[in-house]
Amino acid sequence: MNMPHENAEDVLRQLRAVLPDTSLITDAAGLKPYETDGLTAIRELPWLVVLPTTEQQVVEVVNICRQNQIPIIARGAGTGLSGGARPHKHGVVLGLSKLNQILHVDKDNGIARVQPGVRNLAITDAAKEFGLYYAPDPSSQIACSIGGNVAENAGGVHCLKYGLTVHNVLGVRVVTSDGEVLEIGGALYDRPGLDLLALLCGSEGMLGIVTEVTVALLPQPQQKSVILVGFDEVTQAGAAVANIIAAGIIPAGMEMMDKRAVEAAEQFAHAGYPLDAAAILIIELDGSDTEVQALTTQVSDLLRRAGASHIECAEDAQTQARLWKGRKSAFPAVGRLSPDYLCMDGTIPRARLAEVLTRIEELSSEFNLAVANVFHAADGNLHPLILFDANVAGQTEQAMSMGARILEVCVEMGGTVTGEHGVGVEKLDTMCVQFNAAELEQFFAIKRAMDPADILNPGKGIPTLTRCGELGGMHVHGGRLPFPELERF
Amino acid sequence: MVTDQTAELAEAVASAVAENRSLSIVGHGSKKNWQPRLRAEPLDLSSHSGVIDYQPTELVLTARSGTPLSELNQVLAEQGQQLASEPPLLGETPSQGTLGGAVACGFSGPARPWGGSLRDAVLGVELLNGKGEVLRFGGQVMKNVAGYDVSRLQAGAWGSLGAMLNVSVRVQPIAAATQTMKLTMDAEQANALARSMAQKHLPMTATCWVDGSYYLRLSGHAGTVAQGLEPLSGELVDADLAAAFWQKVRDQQHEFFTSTQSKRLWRVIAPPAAPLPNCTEDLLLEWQGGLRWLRHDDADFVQDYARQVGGWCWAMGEAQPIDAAQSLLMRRLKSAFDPADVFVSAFSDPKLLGGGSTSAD
Repeated sequence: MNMPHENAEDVLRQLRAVLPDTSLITDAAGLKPYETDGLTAIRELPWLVVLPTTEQQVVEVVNICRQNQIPIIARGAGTGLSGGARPHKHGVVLGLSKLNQILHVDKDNGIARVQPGVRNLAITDAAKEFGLYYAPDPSSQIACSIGGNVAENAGGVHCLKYGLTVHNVLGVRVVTSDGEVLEIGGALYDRPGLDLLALLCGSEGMLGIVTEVTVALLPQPQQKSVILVGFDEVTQAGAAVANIIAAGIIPAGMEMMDKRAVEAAEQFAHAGYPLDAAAILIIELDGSDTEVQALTTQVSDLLRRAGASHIECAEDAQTQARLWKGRKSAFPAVGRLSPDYLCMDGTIPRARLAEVLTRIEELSSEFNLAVANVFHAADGNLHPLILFDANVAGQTEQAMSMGARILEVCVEMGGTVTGEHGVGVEKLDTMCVQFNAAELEQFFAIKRAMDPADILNPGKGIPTLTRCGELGGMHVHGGRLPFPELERF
Repeated sequence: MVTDQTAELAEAVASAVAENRSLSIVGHGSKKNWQPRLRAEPLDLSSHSGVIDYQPTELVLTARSGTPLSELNQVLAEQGQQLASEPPLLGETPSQGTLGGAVACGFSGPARPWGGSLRDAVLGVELLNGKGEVLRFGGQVMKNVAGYDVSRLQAGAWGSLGAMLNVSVRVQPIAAATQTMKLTMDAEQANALARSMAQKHLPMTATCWVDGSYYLRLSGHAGTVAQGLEPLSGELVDADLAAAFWQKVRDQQHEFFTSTQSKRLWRVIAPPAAPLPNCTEDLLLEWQGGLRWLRHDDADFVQDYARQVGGWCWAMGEAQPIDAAQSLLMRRLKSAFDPADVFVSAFSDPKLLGGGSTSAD
């Protein structure tokens, strides 16, 4: 066991006193599964893993760690893609997997109260008997936990119509770095005072540890239809998306894939995607029977007018599942094309899509690395997958540099470096492109206010000014040199 | 009028900090009745006005915070769009009320449970903090998890953390069809009906029970709206009358708010299905039961009731109730944005976020 603390034995004794034996992992074999999250390129064994079974145990662990200045890395299901749950070698990973109870499904108030370790999809499963469901559906929803969803403000493919985690969570219980338990919100549409809930959503475990979540449940739509459409030009697909929105239609989902992603998905899932298309869209419409029928006709018309070369409408669940299967397996499918791939997560104004794809194509030639693009077209969230081989010397670094360049393009186009995967450790450097020194300092001031002891997931999410200053390439943001007060070396 | 006052406003904050003066941020002052009287020099944002960017197909609008809400509503309506949360206009005239004021006060209108709150729609802000720095957070895109969500934190902060210079908000298409039905029933029946409606996938956009009548508004595809109302045995309200009715409820201009001025007005937020108070003659229900306006002079009665049902209540012109543990964190957050405590706000009561001086007189 890694024993980094002078008083390690004493801390262990204190932890043993408050945790059941099965809630404390100290041996290397037991620690191994916690060495990484969904960003598997980065690994580190933690000092310890604790798996509390009650909120009170979370409080005790936080108090012991604070008194001993030991970092706490909260962890849900470990599916995060940005290294937010990457361990600290001197730190404690606080896994919330044993807090996994659905406490109450309250159909009258349209909410569920759940513990943070409950899987995203399990909430919908529990609500099904009342005809209700939980809307945000990140692609990892079979495995990812609701506590992790809150920490990352997770999205999914239905965000434009149904919102992100921040729009669908009405309350949380949270343990602060001071060891206080706060009860924020509940089955309520409004909360007094500053909106701590907004601040906690997407804060990557750096401002508090969520021990209970109240989520809003929605009635299942009566009917759905899914339309698969192919275009000879990417620009036509982009224009079709804009035309649908301009017609006042908010589809439940609207996904785009480029030719390389389509080829990969088709080989993998046999979804019946048109292989000759430059881009495809998968559009989901929902509502009442008559509404879905009318919308399907209207959208099909708009697609034809935008120059669609292939349209398939699926009204039955089986065909719909087939059409979605290709999209939902796009990542593993691309994974089969190449030994490794890096998934980026920029968001751009939709109107700039064609420009961004052209720039990505140029970068692809420059770095000599192939890219497959998967795009949440409804909300502008772009996932370029950079294909590389980690066994070829230098390719990992090349892929990372290319990824950073893509994110710079996203920022330049008025977008952001991360739409839904979070900053974690992965995007610390690209944060320097998006924010200047005063803005980063404002983030740190928030962190100090919420976690004065600096024990909650330290070093993640927000890059230090020194780190940004030391970055090779300097970026000018809004005409301002980003870190004028720092020396350059 | 389109004007950019960023430099003047930043200078005003910097000199207030240097001279140890307090400022209270004000737009049109249309919501002043909801906050305690502030003893501070106003920092007037009303001339910092104008739409900066509006892309209807991106569903995003960016405007300076002093832009009148009435002007924004007009600009959006011309493109068949709207703010889904229907923020209220609480001034003496409908032209009063700014975008910044609406976000800062965090009020949402009748559509809130279905269209989301105004806070939900906030995508980005440019903020003038208490150090006089102009900072940008969030942006103009729907999905953004880069850094803490400082933008949405400004919603409902009543200007305690700084002055929003511009705000980007997500907008929504106006529905193809809207119908309002009026049913005669008591409040208990209305809340029971709300429960059964809430469990169906219907395009509800407002509910209001007042004085023996229950009003339901559905907005969406015409067929779905008709289908949703079909099983109900109420009367359809003429479209113009219905629009006027919802506007009065939204803007607190309905007789319920204006005619019984003798009793104190309370805004009670409760779980939608929670039991109703036993004083339904002084009650107006919105948000399918989640918002309960009460006219009552006995503060103990209202506070006990709100506590019993697991909600909270707030009397017009008084401090919001915030528990001690949260209040401590909020105070620290306030200092993180405004270390010199230059911004006096509705939260400046020592019991809440401390600092500044307010007066209940």
